[in-house]
Amino acid sequence: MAKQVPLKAVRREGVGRAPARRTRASSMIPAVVYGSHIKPMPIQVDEKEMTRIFKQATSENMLVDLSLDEGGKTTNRLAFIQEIQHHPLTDRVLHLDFHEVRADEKLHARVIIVAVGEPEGVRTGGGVLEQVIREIEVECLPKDLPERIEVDVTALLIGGNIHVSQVKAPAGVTIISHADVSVFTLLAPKEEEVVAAPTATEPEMIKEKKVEEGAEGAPKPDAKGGAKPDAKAGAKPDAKAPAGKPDAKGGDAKAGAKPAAKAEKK
Amino acid sequence: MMPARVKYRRMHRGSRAGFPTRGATIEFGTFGLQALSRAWITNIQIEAARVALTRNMKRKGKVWIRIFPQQSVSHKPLETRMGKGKGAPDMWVAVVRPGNVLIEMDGVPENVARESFALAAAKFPIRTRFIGRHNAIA
Repeated sequence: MAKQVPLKAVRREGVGRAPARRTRASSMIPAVVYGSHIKPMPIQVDEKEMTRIFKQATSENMLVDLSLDEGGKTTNRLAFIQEIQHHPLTDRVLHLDFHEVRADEKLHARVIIVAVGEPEGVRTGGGVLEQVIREIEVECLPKDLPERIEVDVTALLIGGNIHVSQVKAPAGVTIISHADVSVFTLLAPKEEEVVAAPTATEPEMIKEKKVEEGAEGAPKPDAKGGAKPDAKAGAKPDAKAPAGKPDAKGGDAKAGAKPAAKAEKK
Repeated sequence: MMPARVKYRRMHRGSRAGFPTRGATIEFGTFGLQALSRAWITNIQIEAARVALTRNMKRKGKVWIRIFPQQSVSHKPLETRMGKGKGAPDMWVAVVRPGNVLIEMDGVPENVARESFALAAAKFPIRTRFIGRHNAIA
């Protein structure tokens, strides 16, 4: 079962980047506590104490008995560490999320899966055990929350799988991840690696193709819209319009010319 | 290694500043090689590291290369006067910031992983360190 560790926390006044940085500079870790029964509250916890707790832990899944100091008034809250933010390089804990839970209410958590034993296929066939998923989602009461779920893989042969449905959950724990998902797969040993010779020395261009396509299509509208109507209007008013082509232009030209001629006669 | 299709062959140099917001934790394997400084890592260096790694592992285990050379670097020919446009693409690089996980490995004992990563790390122009999944807690 997950450890339940006592931890002192103090309500934090400022929120946002600058106050959080000041909190970290004073050897405290900015954190937040939230849950279905309380409003989200910014808090801070001692960095040394938190580091000591994490060093002793084997999993990030742990229940914390938060002793929360809210300006002189101290309250005790049972919380689950929902998220830990680390610095990408130093691994320093930057922020913590505490999810308040009730002892009599079931919670959802992600629990680490660990393989136990050496698979038969690895011992005899030289296969490679691949762990497809590392965590599994469970539902349980806080007191039943496991730190990790161990799966016996000794009977696994090459090509074999262990699915979520085959994982045995501890007492009081219900697995809610999809039952068909594969957790462990035993892969066959690799063949001699054949490195394919690089065929392309340069990547294919996405844009050039489009330009070429556009170049073929582009002059047509200009020629139709710009040159041909002018030519028709200028040179072909007297000539008969070719069969099949719209007569509108020729018709307009004729219609425009005849009234003008009549007006001159009058 | 290079992108299969790109929109523009010649790229701006971009920024290498800051720390990674993604790709800084082990996602697939059990052990990883993490960058401790920033650099442009070329496709040739990545391939050299992969070859060194897989040869030492002797066909055991599984490897994930977590970086990909998405950025092109252009180069002007020698004895060319300035101007006349940007040079032709010379190489492809991956932008690596401190904290990025470069390679991950699974299915081998820790001593083999450490040995293989040491060989691969020698192919990169940066300082690196060996990390395991257990590092995620503290």
